[in-house]
Amino acid sequence: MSEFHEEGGSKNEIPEDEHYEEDLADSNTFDEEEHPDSEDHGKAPIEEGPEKFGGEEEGGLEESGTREVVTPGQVLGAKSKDLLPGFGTVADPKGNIISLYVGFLQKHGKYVNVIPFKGRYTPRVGDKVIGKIVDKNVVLWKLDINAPCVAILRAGDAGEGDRGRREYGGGGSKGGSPQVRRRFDRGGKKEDTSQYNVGDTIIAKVLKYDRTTEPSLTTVGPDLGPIRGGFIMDIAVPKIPRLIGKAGSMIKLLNTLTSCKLFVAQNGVVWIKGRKIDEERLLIRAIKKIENEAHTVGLTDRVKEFVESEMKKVKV
Amino acid sequence: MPLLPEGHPEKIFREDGLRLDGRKPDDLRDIRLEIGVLKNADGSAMICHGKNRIIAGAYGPREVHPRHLAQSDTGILQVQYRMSTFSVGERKTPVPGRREKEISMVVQHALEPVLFLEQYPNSTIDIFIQVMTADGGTRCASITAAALALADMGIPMRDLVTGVAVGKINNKPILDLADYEDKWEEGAADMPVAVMMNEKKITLLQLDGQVSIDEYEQMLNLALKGAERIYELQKEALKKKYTSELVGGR
Amino acid sequence: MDLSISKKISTIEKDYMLDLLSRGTRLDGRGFLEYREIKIDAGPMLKAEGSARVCIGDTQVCCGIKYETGTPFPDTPNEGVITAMAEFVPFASPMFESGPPDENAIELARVVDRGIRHSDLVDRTRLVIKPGEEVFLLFVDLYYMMHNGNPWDTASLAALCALKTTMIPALKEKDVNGKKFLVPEGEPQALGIQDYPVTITFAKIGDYIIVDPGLMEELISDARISYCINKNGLITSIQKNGSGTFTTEELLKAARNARDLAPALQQRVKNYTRDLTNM
Repeated sequence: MSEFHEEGGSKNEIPEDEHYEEDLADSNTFDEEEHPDSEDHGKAPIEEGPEKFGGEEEGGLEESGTREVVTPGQVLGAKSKDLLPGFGTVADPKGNIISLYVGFLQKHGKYVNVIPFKGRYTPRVGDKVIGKIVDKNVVLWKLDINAPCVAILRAGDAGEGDRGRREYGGGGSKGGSPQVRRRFDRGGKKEDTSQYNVGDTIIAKVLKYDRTTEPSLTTVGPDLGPIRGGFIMDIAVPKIPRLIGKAGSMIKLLNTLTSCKLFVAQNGVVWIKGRKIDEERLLIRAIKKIENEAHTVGLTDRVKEFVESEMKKVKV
Repeated sequence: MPLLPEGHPEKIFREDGLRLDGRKPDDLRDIRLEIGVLKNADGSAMICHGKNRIIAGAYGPREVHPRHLAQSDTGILQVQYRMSTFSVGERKTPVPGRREKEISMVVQHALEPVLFLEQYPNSTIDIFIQVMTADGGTRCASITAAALALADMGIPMRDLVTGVAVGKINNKPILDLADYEDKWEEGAADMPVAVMMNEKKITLLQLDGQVSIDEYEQMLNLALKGAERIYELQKEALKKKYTSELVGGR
Repeated sequence: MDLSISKKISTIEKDYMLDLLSRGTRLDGRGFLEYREIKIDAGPMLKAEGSARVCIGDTQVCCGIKYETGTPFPDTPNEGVITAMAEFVPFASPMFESGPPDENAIELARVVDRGIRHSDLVDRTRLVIKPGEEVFLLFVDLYYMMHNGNPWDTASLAALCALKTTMIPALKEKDVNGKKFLVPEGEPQALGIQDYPVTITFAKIGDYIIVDPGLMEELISDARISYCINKNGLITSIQKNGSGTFTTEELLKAARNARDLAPALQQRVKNYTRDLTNM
């Protein structure tokens, strides 16, 4: 939590004499407000995540005091050297700090933050996303990544061939020795779009993004490429941290109780792959439960109880 | 052979000086707000205001269709206000009329000031308003619901927007006109207003009728007082939706 | 816009659903002949002569009944007229665009229309004001509010429940200030419905035929067949849609299944309670 507010602090300082509307129009300020934890680039999503809701394991809820819900325009206090606008807030021309969202009020030291309950995915460079190919031409593919616009994957940014030959999470690769592959590969990059088709689902990384153009993706890198088998579902982006849990605790719990593997991408898409359909189905229900009850106390225990009792009913 | 048109009440105030439904001049009708009523919309809200039943659903930011409406330096807000055929006494033709198109536009202008559209170039935020039952003051009630739908979407907003209709009948300023008060012609005026409550900035203002400057001032103040109360209800509805998840979450 | 292709389903999702079907089950765990939960709210539209809101799963249709008066059709001078109209409200789905009813909305209206017309639902001779000259024109107006698959069965139930709640006045000719008007006399009377023609829709996915398709199932289906079954188990309308095909065995099997499923749906219309109360 401490990294969070320090990031928020330095980037959200709004000079007193600037009109607040102009501040928000300045792309840097607003973008940084949106992504205070941009330090998380490149970290595997299943290991850690932005800890926006604070693990109840470490008493995060109690630390922040009562979970007050605030609304857009609600005055949270007067801006002073001891009270500064953080994530999800802004100072109005009168010097009041107001909330920009419906969300939880959170105080960290001098900063007052508002964590929104809902929100679409805003692409960030370095995020791992799961996207569906919806269109393609000779040089690029277009993917739906649950963002305001489609994302582009250029042929030149696609990884070296079908990653699906390796099962996600383990197993050796097939297709010849490294020497053989090197001889027939042209440096690992294909210049046309024959390797993926419309309807394929891909794990990709956001390569480039600024608000004026579509996000660019790449599948060059470990653990990137098309996924095969299993099932995908959407969850609301602000609930991702709860699904991951503190240091991946919720995901690990789900992995241990069922035989399923779980990949939670930053754009709110979850890939589930298990050995049994009933377990996959159960996992879908468990994830929906986590999504609906993300703000509650004692969720981890309830999820454990729920999954354990349902697993007993699963046909062996 | 035509149907006999609906009659008007003979008097617009009761013997005891109250309005026909028992309200005082500055009383609002009953209001009930519910957030998240549409499963698929990114944000949605329903308002029950007197007999009005209006549902607002919002999507976005999303790609603009048709493409030529997209703007490269800013997002756009598109509002569609429509009345269902059975929302009024005499069936309304399903084909959108001039009134609906005008209301769509003024509602859009009423909501735009709270949004940060410049954050979404080449994108649109779409709001669809469907009136299921209409009984006076629908454009104001629509704004109240649409603002909640926008907040429900999770996009940043400077404030909510609150709609309230004021007017006068028999030259008495009154708040929140019901349909039959709207239709009254003696010493009458109808003034829909919408306001961003925090800074008391007016985002919608229209007038149908004849008023003096003094009456105008009285009506504006009355509108702000009424809007204040509706604003509290809006905030309550938003908080209630998300707070209910905190208690055990079942 | 074409409801079936405007949202792309990924290969993963499609394969998963086909796998489930091969095991005799569906995405939400239902059997092939099982409906989702049905909820009904009768009479919520305060200015309509009759109304209903029906949800099948997360699919919702609102229906309101209004009347006007006018001349009857020349070939049925002693019968009132009932017409159905449907609009897909753009907030029902991210795939819907604003605009006049497209072919899907028009098809929905016409299917509901045919189901009503060829059953004994409403005694249209009771809708006559002046034989040959003036009759009631009843409008069955449907609004598709939430799209999650199978608007057809939902709309059919909504129309039935709305008609069931409909009250219309007796209209008499009167002279008012030298002009002739139709004036209501006495209290409005219940229209009364005498039949329960319910629509039952099946989707075909590969070789599997499932009832009440959900959104994802609809998107991967090759074709669908809708049967409207009345209280006597007779078929009062059929509609096939989609570019896939059915064998006659499949069609007959579906028809028999529809006939077996109809009574449960008809019972819901007969005994509706207010399951949805927030409007």
